[in-house]
Amino acid sequence: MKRSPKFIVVGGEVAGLAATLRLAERGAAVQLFSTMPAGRALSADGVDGFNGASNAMGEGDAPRIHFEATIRAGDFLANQELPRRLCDAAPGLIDLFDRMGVAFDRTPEGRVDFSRGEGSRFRRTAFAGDKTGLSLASALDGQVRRYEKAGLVERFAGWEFVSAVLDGRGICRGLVAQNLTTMAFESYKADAVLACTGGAVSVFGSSSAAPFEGFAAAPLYRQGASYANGEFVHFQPAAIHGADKARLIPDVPGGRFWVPRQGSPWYFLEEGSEAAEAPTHEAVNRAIHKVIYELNLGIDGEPAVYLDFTGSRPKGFGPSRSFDDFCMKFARTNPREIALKVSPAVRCTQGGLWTDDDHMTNIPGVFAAGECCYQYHGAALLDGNALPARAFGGFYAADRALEYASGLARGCDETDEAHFINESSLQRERFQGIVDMSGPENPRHLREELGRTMTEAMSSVRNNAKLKSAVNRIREFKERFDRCGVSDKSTWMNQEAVFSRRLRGMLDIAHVMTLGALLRDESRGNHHKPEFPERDDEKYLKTTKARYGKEEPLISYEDVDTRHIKPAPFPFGREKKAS
Amino acid sequence: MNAVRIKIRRQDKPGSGAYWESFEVPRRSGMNVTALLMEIRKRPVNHHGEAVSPVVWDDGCGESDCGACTMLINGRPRPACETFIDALEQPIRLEPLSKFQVVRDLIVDRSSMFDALKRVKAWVELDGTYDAGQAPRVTIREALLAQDLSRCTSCGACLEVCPQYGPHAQFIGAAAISQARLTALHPIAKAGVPERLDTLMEEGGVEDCGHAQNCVKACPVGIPLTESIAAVKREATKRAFHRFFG
Repeated sequence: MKRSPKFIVVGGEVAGLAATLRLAERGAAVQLFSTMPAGRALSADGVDGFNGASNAMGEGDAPRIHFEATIRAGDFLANQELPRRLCDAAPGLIDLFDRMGVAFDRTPEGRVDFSRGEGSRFRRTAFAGDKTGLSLASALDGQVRRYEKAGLVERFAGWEFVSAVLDGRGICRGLVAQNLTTMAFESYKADAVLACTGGAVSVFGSSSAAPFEGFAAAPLYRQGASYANGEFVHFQPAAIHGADKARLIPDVPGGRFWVPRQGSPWYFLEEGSEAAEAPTHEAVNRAIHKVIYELNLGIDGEPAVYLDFTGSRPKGFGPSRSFDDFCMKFARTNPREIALKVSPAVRCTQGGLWTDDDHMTNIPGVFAAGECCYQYHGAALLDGNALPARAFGGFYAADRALEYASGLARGCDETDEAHFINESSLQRERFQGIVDMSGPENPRHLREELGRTMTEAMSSVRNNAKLKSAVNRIREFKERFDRCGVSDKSTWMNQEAVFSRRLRGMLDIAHVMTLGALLRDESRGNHHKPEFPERDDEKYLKTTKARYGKEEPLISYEDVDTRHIKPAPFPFGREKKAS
Repeated sequence: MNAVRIKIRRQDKPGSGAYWESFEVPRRSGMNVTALLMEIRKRPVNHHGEAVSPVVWDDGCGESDCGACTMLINGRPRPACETFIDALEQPIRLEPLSKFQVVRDLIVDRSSMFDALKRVKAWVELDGTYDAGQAPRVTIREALLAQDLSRCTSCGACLEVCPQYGPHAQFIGAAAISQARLTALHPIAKAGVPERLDTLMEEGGVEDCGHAQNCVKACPVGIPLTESIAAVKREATKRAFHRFFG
C-alpha cells in the first residue's frame, strides 16, 4: 500500500489556514500549529483590501495590467513568475472567498463592489468593510474547523515552532515544537513543513503595527535557510502612536495631510510634490519625512503631522465604515471634528525566507508562504496585494508541497528516530539555558532599544552612516543578550523565557535587515537613500540573500527573474492607461 | 509621584489558589490597560517593592480585533487594549474572565467557544477551494449585516455577563448563536440551515436564553446579539412547526 504523506503547517492566519484547507481538501492529514489560540492570530493586513482584476466595473482592467502594476510597484525586484500566477488567479480567489462567506462590500445589483487603490487607475480592490483581513481569516478558519471536525486536521493551538528536524542529508522530516502552556517540547514527523508565521515587523518594537513575535523565519534562518530582501519594509503613512503600539490608519478617502506653517495649515501633499502626482505610500512617506526632518515642521516639534477628515463625511461602505469608531476608541477623538495627529509606522516586511518558484526554501521539505516568504512584492507592496499574496501563496505552496511529498522515495516515518530525539533534547537544553539566565540586562528593555534603533535607521529614508551605526548596535545587542536575566522562572506558561528566545531570533533578523540596507547603495521601492538617489539595475537588480554566519550574516546576490516584463525606469509605480 | 494603583487577581496555574497582588506604575500619557500591564511585565515588582513573577495576559492584536486581551476591568469584561486608564477608578482591579478556566493570571481557556462554533457548524459547505465561478448575489443590506456579525472575536464578554451561561447550565451562548445566524445568511449555506437550527433547538440551544439582554451591552464590537437570538428563534419556531405538521 502506498503510504500517505504527512504535513505540518505552522501559522494560523490567512496563508497558513489556506494551506491547511487545501491540503485537507486533497485528503492529506495535516497538523496545524499556531502560537495563538484558534482564529486569534491576525496581521496588520486588515487595513488593506483584496486586489483582483475581474474588470467587474467595465474599465478594461485585466490580470495582465494588474501584473504590470505589481511588478512596477515592486520596482522590478520581484521574481515575476509567482506574481503573474497570482494576478491570473486573483479574480477567481475573490469569487472563492465570496462563496466562503467573506462579507464583501456590494454594488446595488448585489455583486462584489470594487474600490480604487492608491495610485491605481482601476477599481480592482474588494473590501469587506474595514476588516477585510479579519473576515478572510475567519472564513478560512471556519473551513479549517470543518475539516477538524471531520478528523483530517489536528490543531495545536498555543504551540510554538522551535526548529525543523533535519536528517543526515539536511532534508526536513518534521519539527520540534513547544507547548506554550506546559512548556513541554515534542517532536512531530512530517514529509513537508509549511512555515506561514508572518513577517518580521516585531523588530520595530512599539512603532510597528503587529505585536506578534512568534515567527519561524528566525530559527529556520539559523538552521541554514536563506533570508531574502530583508531591507525592504512597508510603512503605512499614517498611524496613531499609542503608549503600547502603533495603530495603522487605512487609506480612508477624504483625508488631507497638513502641518502648521507661519500660522496657517500647509497641505504639503497638494503642491507639485511627487506625492501629488501619484500618492503611493512611498511618495507620501517621503513627503512626510521631509516635512518633519528636513523642514522641521512637525507639530509642536514632534515627529508628527495632521491627517484631517474634518471636511469629509463617512461613507456607508469600504474602509471608512467603522473608521470613525476606531478613532473614537483609540485616538479618542472624533475624526470629523478634530484632525488626527499621525506619523508613518511599519506595516509589514517584504523580505522573508527565500523560496524558489515552488515556495520551497533551500532546506528541502520546508516551504514558506505569506509574509514570512519574500516573494511577490519586490521592493514595495502594491496596495491591496498583500492579502491575495497571502491566500494564493498558501494554496499554491500546499499544492507544491503535496507534489514534493508524494515524490519522496523515503518518508518521514523511515527517518532514524535519533534525529527527532536529538533535536528535541537540544532545544530543551537551550531553552533551559534561557530560563536560567540571571544577568543584569532586561530583555524587555533590550527589545525597546532594538525597536528604536530599527525605527530610526530603517525608516523610509535611509543613510549609510545611520545604517552602519545600527548594524554596530545590533552586534552590541547580541552581546548584551547573553547578559540578560529572565524574570520568570516558572515551569508553567513562562512568557518571559519564550519572549527571550524570540528576541534572540529578532536580533538575527534585524542584523540581516540592516546589513542588507547598508550594502544596497541605490534607491528602489521603499528603500530610499538620498546618497544614491537612482535605481541602479546594473549593480542591484538582484535579490539580497543572507545566510547565517557565526559572527555576521553572509550576504550574496542573485539575479531577479524578469522573464515577462523588462525593467524600465518607472517612479512610484503609477499605472498606464489600458491600451 | 503620579502613580497608577492596580490590584490584580492572580493564579499560578489551574487549580492553584487565587490571590490578589497590588502594583504601582508611573502614569504615562495615553495609557491603556495594555500599556499598564507592559510596565508591570518590564519591571515585575509589587507595591511592597518585592520582586514577583511577571503578570501574564494574552497580548493580542491591540485593536479589538482578536478578543484575546478581554478581562474583567473594575468588574466589567473589556478588552485591555481599548480601555484607557484615565476614566477608571483606582485601584484598577484586573481579573480573569470568570466563566472559563484560568490558565495563569489573566489568561483563560476559551476553547469551549471554539467547540461551540463546531457544534453549530459555523461554516459554508463549500464544494472546494477551486475556482467554481461566482457566488450568488447578496444585497447591500445583507452584506452590511454580515459585516457587523462577522466582527465577533470570540472574546467571551457576552458569555461573562450572561446569567444562563456557565458550569451550572448547558446554554451555548450568544456568540455561537450569532455566528450560526451569520453563516445562515449566506446564500450557499442556506442548504444547511435546517441542520444548523436543529442543534440550536436542542437542550442548551436558543430556547435557553433568559432575555437578560446583558450580552448586547457587553459586546465590545457592537454586534446586535439579541437581534441574532430573536432571528434564530423565529427560524427555529418555523422549523419546529414544519417538522410537526410535515
